[in-house]
Parts: sequence; C-alpha cells; structure tokens
Amino acid sequence: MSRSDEPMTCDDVTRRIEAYTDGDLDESTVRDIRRHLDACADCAEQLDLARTLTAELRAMPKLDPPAGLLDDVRAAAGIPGSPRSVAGHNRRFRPWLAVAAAFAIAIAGALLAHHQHQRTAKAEALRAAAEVRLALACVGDITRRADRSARRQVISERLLPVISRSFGLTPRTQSRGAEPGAPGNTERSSS
Amino acid sequence: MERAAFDTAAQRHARKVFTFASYLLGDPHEAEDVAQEVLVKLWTRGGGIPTDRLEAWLMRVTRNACTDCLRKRKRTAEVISIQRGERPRADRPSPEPSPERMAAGSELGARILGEMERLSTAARSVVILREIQGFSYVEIAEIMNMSLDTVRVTLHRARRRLRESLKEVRSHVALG
Repeated sequence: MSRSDEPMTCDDVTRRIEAYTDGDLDESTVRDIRRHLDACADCAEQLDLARTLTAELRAMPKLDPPAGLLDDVRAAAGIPGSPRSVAGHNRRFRPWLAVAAAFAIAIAGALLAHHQHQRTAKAEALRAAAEVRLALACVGDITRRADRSARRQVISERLLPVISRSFGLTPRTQSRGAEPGAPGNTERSSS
Repeated sequence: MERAAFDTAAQRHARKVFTFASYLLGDPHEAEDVAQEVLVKLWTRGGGIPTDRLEAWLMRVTRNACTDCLRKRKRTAEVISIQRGERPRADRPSPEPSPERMAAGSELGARILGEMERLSTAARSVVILREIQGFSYVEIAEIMNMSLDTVRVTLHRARRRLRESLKEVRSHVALG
C-alpha cells in the first residue's frame, strides 16, 4: 500500500521493518520507508538491528544428525533386514534418564530406611518389654522377700533405666511414678 | 511405507528434523531421541502421506514431539525443585551454553540463541523455521497449524523482542 501522500510515522516503519528487510514490500512503500529512515535515527537503528538479527540467524548452521541415527531408527521400527541391536541403540548417556534413575533410587532408599527404622524400633520395643518383664519379676520376687529400701533400689537401678530408654527419656535415679502400679502401665505401653 | 521409499525420505529429511529439534530443545541428546521417534512414525504412518506434503507432516510431528519433550522436562524440573524444597520455577533457560549456541557463528549469534530460549515454544518454532531453516510463511502455517496472519504476527513479535535484546546487548558492549 502506498503512503506517498503522507509521511510515515515510526510506528508505521517499525511494523513493516521485517517485511522491508525480507523485500516483501511494493516499491512506493519502500520509498516511503527510506524517506523516513533518512530522517529518523531511532528507526535506522531498528533497521540495523533487524538486519543483524536476520543475518545472524540465517548464518546458524544446519545440524547433521548423528551417524547411527537411521540404523537406530530401522532397528527401533523393526524394519526387515535391519540390525535389531537394542543394546547398541540405547548405549548413549541420557541425562534425563540419569535424573529419573537418581530420583527412583532416592525414593527407594528413603522407603528402605523408613522400613528399617520401623523394624529397628519394633525390635527395640520387644527387647525393652522383655527387660521390663524381667525387672518386674525381680521386683515381685524382692517385694516378697526384702524390705522397702531394697525394692526402691531395684526399681531405680533396673526398672527405670529400661523404661526411660524405651521412651527416649533421661533416666533418673528416683521417680514418683516408680511405684508398683506404674510399671504395669509401662508394660501395656511397651507391648 | 515401503523400505526403499522410507530410506529415501528418511535420508532426505533427517537433517531438517534434527536441526529443528536441536534448536527448539537446545539439547542434542533429546533432539536425537525426537528425531528417532519422528522417523519411526514416518515408517509406521508415513505411507499415506502424499510426497509433496511429507516434509510439512514430518516437521509438524517433530514440533509435537518437541512440545511433549519440553512439557516432560518442565514437569521433571518442577518435581526436582519440590524435592529440594525450592519453589517450582518456570521454563528457565539453562545457564550453560548448549552445543547449538557453541556452534553459532559468533558470540552475538550465541546470545541471540540464548534470548530465543526465553520465547514461547510457538514463537521459537516460527523463528527457527523461518530464519534458520528458511521455510516460507505458507509452509510454516501448515507445519504450525496456524493461519498465515498468526504466523506473521508471531514472527513479528518474536523478532521485535529479539531486536530489543540485541539492542541491550549492544548498549552493554558499548558501555563496557
């Protein structure tokens, strides 16, 4: 479209700058753009940038595919007469596959650790319960035969450390809860 | 498709398919995977495509495969970000120069390719098809499944954005 009757604005030129560099405009429009470019440094710079951009992009190399691509395609597609070497086809390192594998290993590791932790905790609880039962048996035996101080000694030295360890508490030498009724509660909790 | 016809077509178009995928993905390994996938589809489904439309069909299949690849890549990046306790980030360009950027004729060319990674997949595809691979607007419209006007507008906006980036690069160089 010819605009010879009125001068072009910067917006008019900017909108046509690619078509201008591509040579897609009619002669009269080209003439109008040139007239504007002679007087406008900003649009002249835009034209220079457009030309540089086009030249740089068009100079980008066309890339050759890897040499074995077509053999790989024939093998993957099962084309008759092609080598079906899947091992050779997949021997290349693939970063995304490595990331996926690492991710899978991390999840498997976390699950295994969680499972082991559960197993360890269960074994620890069973062992603690057995120790508590043994300690209670001692307490019962001593209660029948010994005096109050001996009973307290057994409770503080044998029973409380086991209970504390089972519940992750710091053992104390004496506790108000270490009366004969308390271990029964503990045993229920441990089993 | 017959074996002989497949061999001819694959040899003829493999370079264009690989070039398009390489510039669009910025990763030669993923581009090779895509090229292989596309050429396998040529063998399995290309038999019914008329010869004069085969190239556009192949490029369209390539564009679709690349879009899937970019989507998977984005999902993987999001999962890894969440695993690391980071905020999922958008499709950010890699800080490392890709082989295509390294292969670019000049430092300016490498910077332009870097800026292209910030464009949308559709805009980047149109720029690659037009400027690097030399397809016509009509061919691009067919490959991209766009109207001719949409191709023009998309290309115009992408070029304008790249020009602005180029201007910034130049001003930095002038100041430095």
